[in-house]
Amino acid sequence: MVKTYLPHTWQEALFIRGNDDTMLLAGGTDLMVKYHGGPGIIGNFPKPLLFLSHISSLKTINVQTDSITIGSNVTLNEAAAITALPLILKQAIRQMASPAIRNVGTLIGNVCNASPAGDTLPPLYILDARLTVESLSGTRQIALADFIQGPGKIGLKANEIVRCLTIARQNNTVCFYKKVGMRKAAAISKLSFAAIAQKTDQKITYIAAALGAVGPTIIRSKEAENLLTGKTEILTDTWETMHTIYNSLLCPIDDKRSSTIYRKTIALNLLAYFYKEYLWQ
Amino acid sequence: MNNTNIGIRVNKVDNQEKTSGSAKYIADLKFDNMLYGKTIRSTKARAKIQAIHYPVLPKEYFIIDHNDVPGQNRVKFLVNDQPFLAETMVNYIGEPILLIVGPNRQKLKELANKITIEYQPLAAALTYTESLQCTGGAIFGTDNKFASYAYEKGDVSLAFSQAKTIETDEYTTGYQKHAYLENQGMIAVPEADDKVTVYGSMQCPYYIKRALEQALALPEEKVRIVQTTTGGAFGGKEDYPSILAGHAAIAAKKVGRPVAILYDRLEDMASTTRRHPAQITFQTALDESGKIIGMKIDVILDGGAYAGISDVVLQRSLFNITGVYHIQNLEVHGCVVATNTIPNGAFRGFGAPQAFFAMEMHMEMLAKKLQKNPLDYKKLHIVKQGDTTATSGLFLDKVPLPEMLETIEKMSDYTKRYELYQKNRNHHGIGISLFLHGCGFTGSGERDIIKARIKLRRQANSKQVEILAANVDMGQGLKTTFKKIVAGALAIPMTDISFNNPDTDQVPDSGPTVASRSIMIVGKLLEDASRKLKARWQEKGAIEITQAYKQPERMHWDSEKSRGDAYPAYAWGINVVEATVDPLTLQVDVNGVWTVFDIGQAIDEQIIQGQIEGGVLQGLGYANMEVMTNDKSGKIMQDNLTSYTIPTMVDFGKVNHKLFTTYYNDGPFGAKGAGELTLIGAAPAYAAAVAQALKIHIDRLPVTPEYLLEVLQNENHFLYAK
Amino acid sequence: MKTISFTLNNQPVSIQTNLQKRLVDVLRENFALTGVKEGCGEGECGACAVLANHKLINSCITPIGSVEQLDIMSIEGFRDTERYHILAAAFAEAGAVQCGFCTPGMLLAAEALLHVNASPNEPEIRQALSGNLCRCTGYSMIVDAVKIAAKNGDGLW
Repeated sequence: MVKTYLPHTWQEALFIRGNDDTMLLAGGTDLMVKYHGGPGIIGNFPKPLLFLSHISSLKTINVQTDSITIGSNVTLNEAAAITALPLILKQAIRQMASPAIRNVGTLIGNVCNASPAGDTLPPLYILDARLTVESLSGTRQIALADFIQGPGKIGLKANEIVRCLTIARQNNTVCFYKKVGMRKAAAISKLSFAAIAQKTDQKITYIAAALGAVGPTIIRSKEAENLLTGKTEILTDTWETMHTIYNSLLCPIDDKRSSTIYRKTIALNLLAYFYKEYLWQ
Repeated sequence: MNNTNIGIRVNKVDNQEKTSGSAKYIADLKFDNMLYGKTIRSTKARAKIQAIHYPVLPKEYFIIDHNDVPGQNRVKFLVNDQPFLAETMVNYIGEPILLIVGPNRQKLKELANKITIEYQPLAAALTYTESLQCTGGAIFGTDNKFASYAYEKGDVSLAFSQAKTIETDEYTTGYQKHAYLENQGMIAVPEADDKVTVYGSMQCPYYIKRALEQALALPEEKVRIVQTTTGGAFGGKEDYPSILAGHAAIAAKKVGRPVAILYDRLEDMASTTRRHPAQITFQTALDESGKIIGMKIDVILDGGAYAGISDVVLQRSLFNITGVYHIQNLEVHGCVVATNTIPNGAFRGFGAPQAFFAMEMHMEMLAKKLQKNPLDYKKLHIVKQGDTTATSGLFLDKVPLPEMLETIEKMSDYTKRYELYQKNRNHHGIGISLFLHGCGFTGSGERDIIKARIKLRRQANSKQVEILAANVDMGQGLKTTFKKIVAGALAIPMTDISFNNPDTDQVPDSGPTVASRSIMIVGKLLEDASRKLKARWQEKGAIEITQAYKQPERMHWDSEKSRGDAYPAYAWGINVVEATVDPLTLQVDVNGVWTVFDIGQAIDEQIIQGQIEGGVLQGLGYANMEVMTNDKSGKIMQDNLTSYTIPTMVDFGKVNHKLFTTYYNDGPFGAKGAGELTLIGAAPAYAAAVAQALKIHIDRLPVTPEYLLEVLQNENHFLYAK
Repeated sequence: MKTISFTLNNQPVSIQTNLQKRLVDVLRENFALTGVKEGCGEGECGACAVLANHKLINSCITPIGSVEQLDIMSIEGFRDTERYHILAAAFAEAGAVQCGFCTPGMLLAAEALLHVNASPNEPEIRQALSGNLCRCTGYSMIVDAVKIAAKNGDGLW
């Protein structure tokens, strides 16, 4: 049986993390499933476990005028309850998993799991989330899009722990979220789509869209988004270019839940709907 | 005798123990000196076992293999083909080879991982085609057919020669998994004098008892089976438990200590039975007006690697294949074939959901081709009292469908909405299904095989009455409804009646809890016995009344020719489902569900409501979100509740339901069977609604968004253009 | 092995255990609380649900290390309350109990809901219980039961 650590302070946690090759456990809702052994059986965890659950400083939620900072122990439900939290992220959280899992699973845990189907990821990508990562040697900030390197792969060193996540507060006039799963609750996404935009006098001042579960990591194209910045409508040529861009980026797989062709077709449907219709309503 | 007040709801007698968490299910029990057992299973779909290497076993850990079976290493069922523990061959991924038994489950898992098995893989047959070709050699018999039947009626050749058109059509249905919340489990306890008692989650105590007598080479009095509170079953605990109980008992016998084998969800999903997939082909001869004058139908079911009860599932599929329609010229062929996959088994409906989906969608297809409203087209063919059944029996009772149709129209406005959506679709559709369910065992099973008996006992100088029957409450409320029947017939309070979980030492064999027979067949025996007891009530001494099944006089069945009355009575149903399809994602939202059922007299209307709502939701799950497939090697792909998605509380709304009350003379207080009927109609009604919404034809279950996309792309419909 | 102290059904308790042992195993084995069921082992079915500081959690995916200092309530603790009696009576009245395996979890999920929302509407009830699977009832009668309890328990929640 692997060693376990239950630190009560952040410093203690950093120290342990710097001195042993550990696996971090916050809520545990992913890890306990991944390594579950069965009734009466303790799961076979591959590394010593570092429990973060009892570090109260990780529960901090900091709402500033232009940003929100969320600590690593903030659960999905606690995050969704932040009044100022952008609607796009709230919508994604509310349709995730189940109430009991959202009471325990953490926002940052979902990020660090880096599943291609991670539901909080498309909204966090378009909100340009940044993570604060600490070790005994210091602190650094990293953009989410750089932090997630592949399915289940994150840019976190063995001596580092994610402290918190920061997103900008937004004045989105347009917000569109769609999760496609096998049923309406407790479903792993076949694909998901999150998009936001800001308009001033009918002109688009900011636009961002991201797709989940249609590639090894979240699909987002700033190149496509830039084609609409400053515009008051979408021209056929523009859409054709955008379609080509996204078509080449989308690379979903066939698995037990769905098929490549379904995921790709529906992803393009949702992009078309958002960019051609919803955005201009 | 007519007591129409019996249906008024009462509080179920077992509510308290269940809401408080004090009801004991098998995994909640512990016995002194108990060991746990873990099953080692084949990882190959078909192979010869060449060698098995064991780790050194610590004290108190034991291996059990086929050599440890005292009696016959064959699970007693229709055909003795399935071993409890594999001998030299394995025929499906998941087939049990060994047991490892010991006190600590963690250690058992570690030791199990150290057992290595050398296989010589053989060519496996995983599809109907491979099975029929006997790829790799026959798995069963010489032709891989566990059973095949053919029957005919009228003059099909003449009908086809006179036809104006002949339409050919094919349908396929997939697996379904019971996903009862309580995983399967058994605990076997060796008793004094060679006796063994097995406790567990089950539907059929006597099936298990007989299987163990054969496996352990023990006489009747040495095998005792006791049902524990059973957390759902739906047919999944009809045949499989005999295997599990056998494992536990064989192990308990060898080690001389109680052995508990309790499955977790992964093992339960990957090792126990599933609903038979089906492939059904229709060739239908139509006259000038488009009316059906003859049909040739072929059914093939996938039985998995061993025979199990596939024979009987095939029968029910075949004998009900023409649905509620009167087809006078008919030729039906069918077989259930062996593949190197998990043996399939009973699941609520038992071959009927597959058959009714196919026939109802076939009628939809014909109606569309003829440009007729599907319901109007179906009405042209609905059976009437006195018509012959598919197997040339008779519909002896009035067929209530016309009146039930009136009711469902009032409830759902089906025709109005159908016509509205035909004109202005907007991705909405509404579908209707008409169906029946033959209650009780198919054919002469009740009379010749089951021979059900119950006992009613009243002790001397007592007013307490004991029901002694082997049928189990698995959630369907039998503890309450059996007591209601006896209370009603004896005119005594329910609290004066006891009905304990069946213990084969105490109760006679009243048959299995299957085939929608518990109320209609066994309940009737209880009613009759109660009336006899009532007549003798004033006697001073102890009274024990045994009541044995007698086949109704009016039922005539020839099992050799598959001819006559396959069932003593029919329950009827109509379902309407309204749905909207999201054009962007092809996901379906069910906007409304309406049902009308004739189950005779409800013994408890609220319990029937529970059967309706539960059954309909299982049918909707079967139609829409319950995807179960095998990978290329024959391995199950959805082995947990994360990937096998059953409906949650937010997926569907309320079922609007009404009962159409009739009176069946040979049922207790006029009751017929209800348990399976409620699942059958949901999938075809759903499929018809989606078909209308998208203006396509649907010929497959489950109707997934992926399948809808495929159909739309094939038919060149662009739902949401580039 | 470490010592974990928490409150269980209103009693302070302490056990020596591996921190990664699942709460469901601690409850069922160490404390013989068999009202907590295991249906899937993956947090999917809700049969193992208990309350932690009055919030619904799935004990099968909760490591006991996370439970330190929490207030845990299983059905065995809840059934001593008046709110339980109202809920149990409502489940009986609505015919919401069939095989019973999901039932304790459903009651606790209902309690967790009513604790924060004493008069929920139907969508709110369905959403709050969306992580509790039932294969027998088709759910509507359970929804009715929660509505009845909310009505009869006026003032209790």
